[in-house]
Amino acid sequence: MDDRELNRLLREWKAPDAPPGLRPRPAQPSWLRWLVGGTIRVPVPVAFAAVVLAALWIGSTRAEPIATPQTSGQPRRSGEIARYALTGRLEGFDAVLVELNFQPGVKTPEHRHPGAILGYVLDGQMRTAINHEPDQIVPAGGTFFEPHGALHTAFTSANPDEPVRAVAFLVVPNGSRLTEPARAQSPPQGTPMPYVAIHEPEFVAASEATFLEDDDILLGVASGKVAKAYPAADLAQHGAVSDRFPDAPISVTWCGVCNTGIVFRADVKGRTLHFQYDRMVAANEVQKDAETGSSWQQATGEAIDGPLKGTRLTLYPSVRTTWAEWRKRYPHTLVLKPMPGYAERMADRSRRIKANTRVAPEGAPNGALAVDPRLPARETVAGLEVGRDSVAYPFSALRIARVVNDRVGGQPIVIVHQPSSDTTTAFDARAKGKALTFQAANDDASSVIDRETRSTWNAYGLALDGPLKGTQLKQVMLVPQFWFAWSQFRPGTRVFTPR
Amino acid sequence: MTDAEFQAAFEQHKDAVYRFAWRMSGSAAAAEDITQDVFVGLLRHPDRFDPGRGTLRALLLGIARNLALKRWRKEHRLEPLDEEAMAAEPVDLGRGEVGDMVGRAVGALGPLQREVVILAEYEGLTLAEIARAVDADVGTVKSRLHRARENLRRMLAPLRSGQPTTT
Repeated sequence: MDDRELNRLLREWKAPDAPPGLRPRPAQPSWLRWLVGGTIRVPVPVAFAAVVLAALWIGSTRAEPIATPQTSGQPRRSGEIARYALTGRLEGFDAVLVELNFQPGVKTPEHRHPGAILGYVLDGQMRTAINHEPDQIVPAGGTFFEPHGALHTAFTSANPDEPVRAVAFLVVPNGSRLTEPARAQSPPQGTPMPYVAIHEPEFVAASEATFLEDDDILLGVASGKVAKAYPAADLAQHGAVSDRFPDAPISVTWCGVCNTGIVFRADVKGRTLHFQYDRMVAANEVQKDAETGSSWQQATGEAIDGPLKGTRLTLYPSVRTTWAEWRKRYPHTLVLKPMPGYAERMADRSRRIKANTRVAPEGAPNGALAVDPRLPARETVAGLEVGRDSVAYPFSALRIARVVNDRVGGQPIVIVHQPSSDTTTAFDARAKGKALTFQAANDDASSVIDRETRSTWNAYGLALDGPLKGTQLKQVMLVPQFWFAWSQFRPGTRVFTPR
Repeated sequence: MTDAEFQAAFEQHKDAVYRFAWRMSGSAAAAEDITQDVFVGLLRHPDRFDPGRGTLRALLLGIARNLALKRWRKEHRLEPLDEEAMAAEPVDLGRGEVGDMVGRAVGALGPLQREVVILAEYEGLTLAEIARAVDADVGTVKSRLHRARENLRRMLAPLRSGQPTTT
């Protein structure tokens, strides 16, 4: 490539101008804004101590709560001294300082807070406990801390004759309440659950994901040290989950009618988009982004109308697999937490998704654009697209072949299918400049061998043994879905048939 | 510096600083933070600007560069900022618009190469201005820029017309 062509390409990358709302911070920002403004600039305990001291000082000079010139636009709730909207990495959250007063003998019902809480006792003695652990007595001048999500089981004055007064500092989602009842009320059985996207996902540890069965299907995303599982049965209730990984914001999407789970990068031209179900087009979900109002076809990731029409979202690496297989690979994975009352309904939904993946239901759904008779409309295929070349690998054929050495878009590609979990992965089959061909090394193809160097690889493209030990093949994204959904948007697609 | 002069400087240079920070960090939130910090720095220490030593724009971009690098170091504590180990890894350009792919390729460069590319190709600074901003001599800047362009040539090769891209 010559200099001219390189310069031409470089010019294609446009950067946005500064957003119109951007203002230099005031020359002398208020002390609180300076302490909590987006980036925590001083160690939290120091910031906290300063906040507390300031509160004490101001409290001693005036009886009214501190006025807050710049709040998040949400009214301060009862007991709040100040609430500030944070910017930067903590955008979407408020820093809140709250005053707590308990008369002797008054007990607080069990509750949780939507963020971690750090408290400082001003007068009296506080009795506090989390998660039914033994009570702690915190005297005046002492601090207490509750991690996010902890169940606050005791919170009262420790002295029967004396009230207790404290201040507490929390970081909570914009405008949210500071306490939640211990048990969220489950909607009664039979009440339809809202079909809404999740923009502030919460997660539980693998050990707490008791709502999942070993063979439940999920989308797994791992990047750096973070691994997260998004169960299909949960995604099928929301359509889209906005989340953030160290390298990019993502949108985890699901269309139940197409059996399509796709993870996209959610940033387009420097903006992070948040998606929400809008309508069905061609029996596939179309989701609208809240930022520009553009509508995106889920199966192709392309904006079909609105200001971003014609733009395509980039696939973010993910794998569709089972809970047992994902947990084996990432024992410390986090799992998307179902919304209150939904966990108990997931099993039913999960059964349907598993059944539909195993045996294709009859016929195409209403609204499908075209029915390509080469396969049953709702046979699950793994769709792979390289350049303008696209191939559908039916799960029924992959379960037999397990390892497929193919050429797609002129590139050697290997597809590995582990029948026990229906996990399909695909890789550029070149390592160290050499094209490799692979064969299964065991029944489940969890281990494969290349014929050229006899190196042994796992199903995720990593050489575990042999001359290429340590080499990682480049992942190529394929998307499992029903055949009608794949073929209607790619009429010229090739269908893989085992020899 | 009077308030009016400061406001004028802010209006005139905020976009360049923001664009640079956005390209360096790949994040709108980080770019906002860096831009604000650059101008707060100017407000607190207007004396650092000496017209005899270069333009205000170059000075502000230099401050933005230091802040961006500081962030990078914080986020990549274990990665050495080593000049020689910087043949960029092959990068998956993904798919989408050419501009986005170019952005990913530039983002895949090490920070020392990335900053000279951005300052030279996108902000139009001279080699001498870049050298001052990145605290290196002109020869070093030249060789970093050369290596960066070689890396980009390699990474962007699939974008030559007619080349397929991998999804």
